[in-house]
Amino acid sequence: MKVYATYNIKGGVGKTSAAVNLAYLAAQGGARTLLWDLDPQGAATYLFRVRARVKGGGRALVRGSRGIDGAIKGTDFDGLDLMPADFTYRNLDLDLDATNRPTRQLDRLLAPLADEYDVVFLDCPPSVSLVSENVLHAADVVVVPLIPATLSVRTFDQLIEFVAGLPGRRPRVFAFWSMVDRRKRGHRELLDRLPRERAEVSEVSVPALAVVEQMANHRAPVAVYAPRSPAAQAYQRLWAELASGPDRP
Amino acid sequence: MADSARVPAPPAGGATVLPDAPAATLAATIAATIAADFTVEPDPARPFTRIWLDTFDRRLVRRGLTLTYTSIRRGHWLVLTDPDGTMTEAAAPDLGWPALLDALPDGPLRDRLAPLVGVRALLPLAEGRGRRWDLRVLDENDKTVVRLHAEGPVRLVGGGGELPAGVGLVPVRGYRVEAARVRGRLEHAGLLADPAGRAAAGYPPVAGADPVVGYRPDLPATAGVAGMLESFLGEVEHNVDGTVDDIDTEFLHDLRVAVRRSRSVVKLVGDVLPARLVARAATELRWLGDLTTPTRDLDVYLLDLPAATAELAAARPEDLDAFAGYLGRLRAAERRKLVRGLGSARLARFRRDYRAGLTAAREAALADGGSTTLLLGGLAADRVTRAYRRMVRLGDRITAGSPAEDLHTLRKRGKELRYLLELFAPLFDSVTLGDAVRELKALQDCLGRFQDGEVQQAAIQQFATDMVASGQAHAPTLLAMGELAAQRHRVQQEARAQFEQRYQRFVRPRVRRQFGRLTEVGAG
Repeated sequence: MKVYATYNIKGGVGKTSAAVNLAYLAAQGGARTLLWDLDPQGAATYLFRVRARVKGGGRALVRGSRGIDGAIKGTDFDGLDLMPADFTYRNLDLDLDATNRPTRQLDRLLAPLADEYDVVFLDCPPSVSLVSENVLHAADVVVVPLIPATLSVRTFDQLIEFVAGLPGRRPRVFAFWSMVDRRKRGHRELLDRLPRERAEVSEVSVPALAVVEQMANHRAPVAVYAPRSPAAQAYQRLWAELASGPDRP
Repeated sequence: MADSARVPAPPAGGATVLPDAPAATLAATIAATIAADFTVEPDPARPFTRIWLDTFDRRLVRRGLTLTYTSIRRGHWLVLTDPDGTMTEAAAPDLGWPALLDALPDGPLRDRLAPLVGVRALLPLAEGRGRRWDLRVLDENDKTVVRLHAEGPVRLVGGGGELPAGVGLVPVRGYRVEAARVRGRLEHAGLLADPAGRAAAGYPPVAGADPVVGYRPDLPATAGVAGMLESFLGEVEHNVDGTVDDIDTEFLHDLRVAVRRSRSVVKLVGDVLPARLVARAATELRWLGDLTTPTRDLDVYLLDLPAATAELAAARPEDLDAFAGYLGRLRAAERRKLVRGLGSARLARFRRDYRAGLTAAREAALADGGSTTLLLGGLAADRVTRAYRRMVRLGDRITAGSPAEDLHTLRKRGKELRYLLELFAPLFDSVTLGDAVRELKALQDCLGRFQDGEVQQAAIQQFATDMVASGQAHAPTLLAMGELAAQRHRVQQEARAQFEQRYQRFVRPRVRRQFGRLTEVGAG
């Protein structure tokens, strides 16, 4: 089982879009796939038309009184299941902090699923918190959507530093460009320069197009309703690159 | 999802007919049946071909399960249908049949099949063609909560007739309540059938499954014993083709079991048959057993290898690749000899004469009209009693210092007792028999682990010697094989340590009484 986490310290950078589209493509490719929506806002859960509710909430999961297995829902797409969000995930940091190994709980919760799924995507809320530490410990690859802006790159540097400081095994960091507007010179410059300077940054860029925003209307991955769009093709390239890459740095 | 594609609920008093009857009619009726809680979204009807699968000995259909392989559009689907009609689906690659379980994709469906099918191949038992309409049942959020397959009549290939239309239900994970509600409505309306399972009744019968005679205590012993041997000959013949074609390793295993049982019958109760028939059978069955042993032994090593590899402590799994390759080549060579033997004139002659001799003996005994002094019930009681006493005499002499050979002999006697119990099972009280067999089996398992451990250690050493002599082994392979031998040694030692306790359980007064009661019933 390979665990990917879509993560960025910043919000609104296309994490959920990436998680939903990449998970869909993984399942289409024949991998038994689970997407866990860890963001209490529940955007991925909404996109898959699933009710954002987990019996007992985040606390029951973290305390072990309920397993993740019973809360998983099948999506409308073959081979793709969803672990829904729950509004109580907003308190997940507190719940995690009350456990013996507060940074390793996600690892523990995912372990029983190893035989059942080939690929797991974790769609994470933006922040640096106990939840994100859990995610970074559980993930094999951290997929980071980057908006081509100086401040965004600075946040990425903070993330790299944070990952480097983690004890034990560390995930591979894989960044790609998100919400790209090639009409902007600043975007073009960064797209050209950064992949040459940083091994972690891919050349794949997902354009800022209305077709991506329309996911909320169609409540489906882009490839379902606009398979030939540049955005769908970008996600396909992204998945091909991720799936063929190494597991760990 | 386009609303225009939805199946509308029919007006009261009549069904809406969609332009693909009868599957379309069925779809509309389904929509009407569950319209109060759900909407239904159909995909266009598509032609499909379906192959019904099971093992040679029908391990699935005996549990009420049906496994099919359906090719629809450009995809292939494996579907396991439970007795209640619930389906588990898995996308599958383009597969040819027969196939072993390893060929199936990983996932819940294969996990469910694994303990049922084991090492047996899945064989194509029937093939049909039809049209299917896939329907998605949606909740108020337009989320798919159940999938349905509405199928028109399925035409069976090869003149097997036509299966009626039906509807199958595939639950979606996490929507159990909705699935139960849809199931209830459809069942109430008489719509839910199992379109995949319908062909199971038409599977070809398992040949050799029926006994040649009905076993009763008052049956002449000669007729009963000859009938048993005829049944076992049927089992042997029934498994020859599968062994020759190497469909799966169980064909050879079952063939050998039938040969072993035949040999035990000949040895333990053969004295009620004509002496010449028994003498020739003893010789030819021994030859047949010896012919099949090398391939079966190699099958066992190869089947056990993955588990043994997983237990390696120091060596790496790939260190055993050369050993697996060596065993595979050895098996191929042994199989060629086996196939020649199974196709030989010697076996053909023996089968013909043996069957004729057994049938003649059985018919003569039955024609004798009961004037025969010995009846099957008496024979069963006498031989089971003797076999149990023989075992106890041997076992009582075994001490902590006894050589391994004594335990091997005890195991052989135990096997004979087990075969007698199985042979005469229809004559015994099933509860008492079950208890007795359970106690015997526990002891035999222990003795089996002890003997297999010893035999396999010796065989691994011999394989290693041969591989070195023929330049097929490198140091890492030999070291890994050393670990395998050590594993077997450990198993043997553990079995030896358990023996005394197992044996004492087997000879405790309660079990002795069970065997006593058993033979009283048998004599009845």
